Amino acid sequence: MTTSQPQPQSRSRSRPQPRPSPGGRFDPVRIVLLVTLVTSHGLIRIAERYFPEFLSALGYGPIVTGLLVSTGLGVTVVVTASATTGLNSGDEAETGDRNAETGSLPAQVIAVASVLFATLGLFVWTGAPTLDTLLGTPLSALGWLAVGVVLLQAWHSFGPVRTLWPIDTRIVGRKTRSTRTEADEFTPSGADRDHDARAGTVIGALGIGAGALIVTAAIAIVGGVKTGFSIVAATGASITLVAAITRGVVGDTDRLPLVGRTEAPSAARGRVPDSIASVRRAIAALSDRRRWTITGDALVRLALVGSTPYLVLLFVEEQPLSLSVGGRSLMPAALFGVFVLAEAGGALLGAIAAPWLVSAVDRRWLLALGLASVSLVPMALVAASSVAIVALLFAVLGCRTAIEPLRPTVGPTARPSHDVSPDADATALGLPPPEPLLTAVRVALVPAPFVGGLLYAIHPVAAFTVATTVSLLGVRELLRSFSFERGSN
Amino acid sequence: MPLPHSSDDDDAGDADGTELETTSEPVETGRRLIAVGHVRLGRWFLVFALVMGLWGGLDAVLLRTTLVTPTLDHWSADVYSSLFTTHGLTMLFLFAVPAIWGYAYATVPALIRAERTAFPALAATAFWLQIPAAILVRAGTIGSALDVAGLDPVAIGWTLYPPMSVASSNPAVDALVAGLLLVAISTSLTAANLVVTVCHRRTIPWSDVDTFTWTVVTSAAMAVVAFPVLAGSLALLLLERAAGVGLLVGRSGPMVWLNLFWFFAHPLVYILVLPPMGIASHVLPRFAGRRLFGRRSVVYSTFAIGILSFTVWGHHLFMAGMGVSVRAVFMFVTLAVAVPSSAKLCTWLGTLWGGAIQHTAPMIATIAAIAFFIVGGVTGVFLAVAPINVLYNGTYYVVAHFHMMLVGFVAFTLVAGAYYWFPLLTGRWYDPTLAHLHVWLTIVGIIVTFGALFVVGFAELPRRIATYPPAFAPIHQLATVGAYVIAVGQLVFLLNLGRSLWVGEHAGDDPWNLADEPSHAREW
Repeated sequence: MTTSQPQPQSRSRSRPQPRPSPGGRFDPVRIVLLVTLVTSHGLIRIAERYFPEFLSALGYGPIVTGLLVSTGLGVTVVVTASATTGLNSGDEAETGDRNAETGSLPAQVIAVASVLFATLGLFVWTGAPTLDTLLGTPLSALGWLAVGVVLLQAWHSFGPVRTLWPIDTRIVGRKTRSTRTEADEFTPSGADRDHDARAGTVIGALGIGAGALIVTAAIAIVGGVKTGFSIVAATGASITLVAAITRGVVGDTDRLPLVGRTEAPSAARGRVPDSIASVRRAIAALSDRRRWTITGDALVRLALVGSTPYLVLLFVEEQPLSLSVGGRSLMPAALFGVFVLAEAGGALLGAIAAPWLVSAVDRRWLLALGLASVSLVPMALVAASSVAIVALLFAVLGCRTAIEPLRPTVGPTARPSHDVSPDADATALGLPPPEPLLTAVRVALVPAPFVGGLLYAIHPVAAFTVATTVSLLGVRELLRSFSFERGSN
Repeated sequence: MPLPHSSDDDDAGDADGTELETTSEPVETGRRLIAVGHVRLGRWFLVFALVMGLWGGLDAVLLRTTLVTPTLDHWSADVYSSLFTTHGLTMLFLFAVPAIWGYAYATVPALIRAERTAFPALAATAFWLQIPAAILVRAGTIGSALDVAGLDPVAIGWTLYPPMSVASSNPAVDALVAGLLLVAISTSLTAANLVVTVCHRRTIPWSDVDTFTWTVVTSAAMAVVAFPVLAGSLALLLLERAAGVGLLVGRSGPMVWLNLFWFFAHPLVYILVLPPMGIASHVLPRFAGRRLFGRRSVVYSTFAIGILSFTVWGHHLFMAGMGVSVRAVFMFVTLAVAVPSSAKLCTWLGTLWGGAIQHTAPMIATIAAIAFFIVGGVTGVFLAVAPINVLYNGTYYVVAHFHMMLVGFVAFTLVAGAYYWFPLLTGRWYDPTLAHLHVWLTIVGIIVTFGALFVVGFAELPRRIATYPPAFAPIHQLATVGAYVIAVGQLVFLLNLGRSLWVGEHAGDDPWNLADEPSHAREW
């Protein structure tokens, strides 16, 4: 063997390369990225829905569940507030432009990192019961589950598809105008914000539906929540890892304009978060009607955030229902996945019907009736005793997407309609609240799951009754802001 | 001047010996199935390998899923055992071997300027034998799925060790053995055809034969020797099961099988490894902007590996009560295989050194395969050392080692070959971004999966057992996550393949601009 350095060939010219597919809606790479991200969204959200039951299987009660869920919400609030306090001014466009100027590399890094953190979070959930034995750490299963909860907040705070439905039962990082998501870009008319929000709901519901099917199948096959949850979390970790790699491989190329520009935290670094004083000022600056509307909607949201985590406990442990399909019986834990599927179906219907409803029905009536229906669902679920009725109630719960465009506190995708009339009521229904107030609402949501857990520990009926009561109080506040003169709209 | 090529080459006829197809008369279906050009036959082999690879891969995914929890929560131990039995058999005999022959048929005749293979009809017959072989090998799974009474998935391990393989009353075991017998016959015919083709239909001097062809002919020659041994062993097993002749039972019977089986099976590893080494040597210079470094040593090391591989089977028997001196002999012979393997590694690294590397999908796959070859090779050297082998032989360390070689190196070079020869095999270009995605997903998946298995292997966790101590659960779960990522990667490959066949850009006759390159460009 010779030791001399071989000389490069003179013909070391570049080889012709296969040309990438032309971009477009049906670009295969775009579809792969979209599918992996949406499936990740569905699996993460469905894992979170089953998380209380997994905790229960490990021997932890609803108070611990509430504490962990509240911890997650708190982390998101703190992280997003410190990263995007540039929104303090309330001028989203300005902030979005600033973020757009921060360059694509940090944005790509943030997107990939947030997905990788979610991978880690799900993996920690999968292995939580035995990680101490392996690593010799003193955290216990609960400690590792808490670590997983914290890691998953990266997905909710900065993840590329964090604004997909549902956004009212969680706290998600804000999406600026320049922070477009894969889901948004997949829609034919990405510039249309209402259309974007609706697409986010539809795609999010599809993701949750896919997750619900996977979890139902997993639990039905293995016959237990503990194993089924582990399989779903492991699958979620795999898919999120695939999504991270896909996002990394795709990069911020011209071919892939779908890849969202996640806002860089550096853009807002140094801003002070909203102070109590600024919240007070914002409240004082609001008209009474608008304040009532925001308060009403916030209370409904508070009730939902506080009660939703315990639905799985209700239907697996307190009121177990089962269903026989083709000679095979679905155990209660598997059946809960079907209920979530019904909720996703309702969300789809609601999103599809929303434009027609908003244009055809008095918006105030629509919002009031919609929120009232949602308010009654928790109590109705406690009273329901048949699978069909429970599924129907879950579908009704999902149908709240029909009124989502009118709800002032439901996250950043709640955009004003183009035909907002200048009168106070319509303005109250259309415009998002001032940023300090929105932050205050988010902070107020943080303890809701914990309180819900306390109530559930006292008695499940207490938790859902209080949820309905608080929610109906919200509707009452909302109604105060409406005058309902005949002929007005 | 390179031979003309297009996706319709074999329909045109002259490039791949399809004179029987050039007639304008309608031919009978039977003749169509036999009178087939070598490029088309190569495609058939590759499609068959792809289908079986997906099936075997599904076994792996299910296998990994059963290991998510440390206890048998839902699946029985038999399900687990049947999954690793069918996974191993399918991937080795129905995926890897046919895939290698597929590449060989698609490229070797052109590389040696042969108009056709020596025995085209025999070659096609050998291909068709694989279909019933696959059905028989998977009869247990098929029978179980169709609820055929008495047919259960085979759960005796891919090595078919007696007394389990003899004592099992499952008729699917008989079907499996018969199927493997067909595989042995098919492979022997294919290998013989390739050896004769290279020796007698070559129109270029031996000195001009490229490194890939050298590895194929060496591998085929090894198969001609090894697979008849498998066939004989399987016939013996069938006889034992049917007539109870007493050769494979009793005190010494299992040792007879061990020796026979591993005399075949260890060379099988090199039959599977050599052509991928040839692919690496073939692809690497294309995208490194230089000639292959140390071409002669590549060829000689191929011979050395081929010969030595028949002398190392004993290291699989270190745990079976072997004398110290015999152990020492097998240990040193096994260690000796590392020398030619290292020589190959040096030639690859030498080719890369200072090269103008282009990050195409085949190049990234080849570089990754070389990296995995280093990990798999180094960990294999440790297994050659008898005291270490005794410690780790029954653990996940072995699983991680041979998967690093077979998945990390063999499968990954097959991926490299798939992308490099994609225009030759399909006449179209693939989507490069999807190809990169496929490659990177597979790289990450392999690192995660087999890295995790190395960890549990170092902890001496026993393999082939459906349950394990809970402390290992997170690592097994990590391995499962990696396996799922690998699986998704292969779905991306399928998407790319389907999309490219449907709407891919036509690649032309010389897609990589190799027309004025030296000898290695002959397949285009």
